[in-house]
Amino acid sequence: MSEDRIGVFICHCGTNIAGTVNCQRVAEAVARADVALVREHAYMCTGGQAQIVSDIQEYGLDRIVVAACSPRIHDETFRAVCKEAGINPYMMEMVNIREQCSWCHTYEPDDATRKSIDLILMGIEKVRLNRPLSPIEVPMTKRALVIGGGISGIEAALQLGDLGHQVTLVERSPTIGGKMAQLNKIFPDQNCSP
Amino acid sequence: MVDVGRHPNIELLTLCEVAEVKGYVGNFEVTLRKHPGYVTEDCTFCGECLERCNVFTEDEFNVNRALRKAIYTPFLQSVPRQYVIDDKVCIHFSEESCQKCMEDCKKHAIDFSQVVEEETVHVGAIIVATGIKPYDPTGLYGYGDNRFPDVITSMELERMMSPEGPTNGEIIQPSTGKTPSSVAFIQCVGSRSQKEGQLPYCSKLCCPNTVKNTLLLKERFPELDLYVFHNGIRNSGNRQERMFLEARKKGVVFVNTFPEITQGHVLIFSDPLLGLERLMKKQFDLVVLAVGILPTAVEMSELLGVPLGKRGFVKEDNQLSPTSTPTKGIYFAGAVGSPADIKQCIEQAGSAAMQVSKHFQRDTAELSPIIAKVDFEKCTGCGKCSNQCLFGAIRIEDKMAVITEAACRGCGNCVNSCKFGAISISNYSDEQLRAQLRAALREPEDKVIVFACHWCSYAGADFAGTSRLQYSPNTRIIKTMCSCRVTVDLIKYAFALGAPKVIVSGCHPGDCHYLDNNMFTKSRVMKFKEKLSSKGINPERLMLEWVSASEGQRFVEAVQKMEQLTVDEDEIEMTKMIFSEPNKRKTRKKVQKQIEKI
Repeated sequence: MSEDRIGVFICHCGTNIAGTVNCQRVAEAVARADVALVREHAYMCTGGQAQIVSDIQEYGLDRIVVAACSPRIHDETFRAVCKEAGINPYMMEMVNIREQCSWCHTYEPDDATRKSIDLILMGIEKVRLNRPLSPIEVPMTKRALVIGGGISGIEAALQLGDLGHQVTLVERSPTIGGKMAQLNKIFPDQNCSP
Repeated sequence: MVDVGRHPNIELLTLCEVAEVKGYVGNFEVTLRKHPGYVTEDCTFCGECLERCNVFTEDEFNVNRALRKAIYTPFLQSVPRQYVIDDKVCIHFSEESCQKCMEDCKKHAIDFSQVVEEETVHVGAIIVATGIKPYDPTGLYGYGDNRFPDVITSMELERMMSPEGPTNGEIIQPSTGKTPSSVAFIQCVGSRSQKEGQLPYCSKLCCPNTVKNTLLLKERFPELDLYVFHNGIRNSGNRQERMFLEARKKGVVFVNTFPEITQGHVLIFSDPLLGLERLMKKQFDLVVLAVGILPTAVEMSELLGVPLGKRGFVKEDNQLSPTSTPTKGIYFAGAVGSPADIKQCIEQAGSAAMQVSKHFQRDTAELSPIIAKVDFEKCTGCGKCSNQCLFGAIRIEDKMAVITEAACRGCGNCVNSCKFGAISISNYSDEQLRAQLRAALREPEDKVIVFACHWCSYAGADFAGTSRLQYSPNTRIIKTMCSCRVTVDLIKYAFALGAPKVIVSGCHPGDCHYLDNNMFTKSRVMKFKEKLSSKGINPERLMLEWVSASEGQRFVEAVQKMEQLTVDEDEIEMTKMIFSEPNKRKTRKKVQKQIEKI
C-alpha cells in the first residue's frame, strides 16, 4: 500500500462518455489499483464539483484523478475545485476519456472501455509523483498595447481607455480607421463609416 | 475615430509598427519602430502645402483608382488630423531640391530631418487587431485585363460611391465615364473555392455588402438593371435578411450560378433550373466582383509567437475564450480571427478589452509553475542546458544552473541537454513520464504510444474527437508541454517496455509555442531513427509527425498509417533487449567517468 490517498473521479458526461465507455467496468478495474476512492458522476464539471470537494474532505484524499473531457477545457475548473477542498491545485491530473476516447472509438465500446482503464491507470501513476506547486507571481504593468487601428483596435483601445487604463495604440498607416474607413456605408443600417 | 485621438488615456502612434516583442504576461517589452511623417504636430491642416506639391502618385486609399500628392492625408477625417509626406515618392529625398511645401508652411510644421526612431514600451497585455486585406482577383472574370476595363472590385465600388472618392460619388462605367444602365455583381470571388491560391472559406461579408450596395444603387437609380450572381446568398446576420428581401422587392435579380465573361462585358450563364440546357447571355455596363478577405496575421504571429489556424487566421485558445490566444496576456479582436463584420469586430474588441482589464484589476499576474527545476546535488554546472535554452532562462551561478522562474516556459528542452539527470520539469518529470509508459504498456500488444505536445498535437487529437473522427483504440497519448521534452531515453524506454510503435508529435515547423524548439525534436528523432535502422530495427516504428490544433484529420491519418505497419514479435523482443536497462548501466558508467573528470 502506498501512502498517498488518491481519489479517482469518472465523469459520464451524460451519454458523451457513458454512451460508449462502460464506466462501471472502468470504475471496478480502477478500484483495484491502490487508490483510496473511485467515484462516478453524470456531470463532473457541474454537479460533480461539490461531490469532489466533499469526498476529498471526507476521505482525506491528498490528490485526485479526474477522468472526463480534455484538460484543455477543464484543467482550471478542477484545479479550482482542489483549492476549494484544501489540497494543492497541482495535485490533480485530468484524464481525457471523451475527446480522445469515447468520441473517437464510438463503435468499439469494449476497446474504448479498455483504453479508458489504461488512460486512468496512467493518470494515477503520474499523479502519484505530482508535487504541490504554486503559480509564479510576477508584477503586472498596467498599460496595454493595441496593434492595429482599424475598427477592432479603435474599439478595444477606447473600451480600455474608458475603463481608466493606459493604452498605446499603434497603426502602420498615417491614419486610424483601417478598412472600415474605406467603406462608403455600412450594412445593415447604411450608416456612414468613419 | 476622433475620440481615440483626443482620449487622455490613449497614446496614438501612427506610421508605427511593432519590431520586436519580448517577455510574458504583465511584463512585455515591445520595440516600436516609428516612421517619419516629416510633418510635426504644429500642422493646422490648412492645406497650403497640398496646393504647392506637384508630385503625384497612386492613391492606395482609393484602391489606386485616383492620384494623390506626395504630401497628403489619406482622407479628410484622418486621425491624427495632419498631413504626412510619403518619402518613397517625394522628390525632396531624390533630388534634394524641392522644398516647396516647406516654403509655404506658415507654421513651420515640415521637418525633413525626421528619421526612423525606435522606442521600447513596457506593457502588461497586448491586443492584436491587425485585420484583413481584400483578395486580389487579378485574372478572375477578366479583372486586370485591358479588354475588360469595366470589371471592378467591391472595394473599388465602395470608393466610387463615396462622396470623397475618385468620382465624388458618381457611379460611372470606367471605360466611358457614363452612368451605367446595368450592373452585375459576382459573389464568392476568391472565396469558397478549393482552387489553388483561392480561399476555401466563406468570407461572410461579401453577401450582405453586395445586398447593401444593390439597395444603395436602387435608391439612386430605380430603373437600374441589377443582377447578383451568387453561390447561395448568406445573409444571416442582424437585419440582413430584411435587406435581402428588400433588394428582391426592388427588382434586384439574384441568380444562383456563376457566369463567364466574354468580349464586351457579356456574361454567359446557365439558367439555374434548366442548367446548361439553357445558356443565357447578357451584356452589363459594370461588373463588380465581390472579393473575399484574407487575414493579415503572419507578421504578428511571428513576432508574438501566436499560432495561426490552417486558413491563416489567429487561432483562439479554446471555444470558451474566443478572443484569447494560447499565450497568456495576448488577445485578439476582429477579422484577424475570422471574417467579421463591423458589429462583430466591436463585440470582440469589447471582449478582448475585458480580458485585459481583468488582468489590470490585480497588481500581479500568475504564471504557470510547470517549469524547469534543478537538482543541485546532481548539477555540475556544465552549462549545456543554459546554452540550449532559447528563452535565456538558465544562468550558471557558482557552478550551478539557476532558473529564472519568470522566463522559463517549461518546454523541457533543457532536460535533453542534461546528461546528469539534474534538470526536470515540474510534474512532467522523467519518473512520471516513465510511470505513464509503464501503465500504458502493461500489455504492449499492438499499442501505439503517442507523445503529443500540449498546444498543437494534443489539441489536434482533441479536435479529431470533437469532429467524431474514428481511429484505432490502441493509441495511448502522453501529453508533454512541448515535443522537445520527449528525450531519446524516453523513447528507448518505451521500446524497452515492448512498445511496438511510437509517435512523437508536435507543432508544425515555425508554429512551435516555444520558438523553434520543435526543430530540436526533429533532429533528435531523425538521428534516433537512423540509430534504429543501424541496429536492424525498422525505423518506421518511430514516427515524427507535425499536427496542428486544427488538424484532427492529420492526427487520424498519422495513427492510421502507423496502424498499417506490421511489427513481428521477434523484432519487438529484439528491441526490448537492445534498449533494456543493462545497456543503460553502461551509459551510466560513462557518465560517472565524465563526472569524475569534471
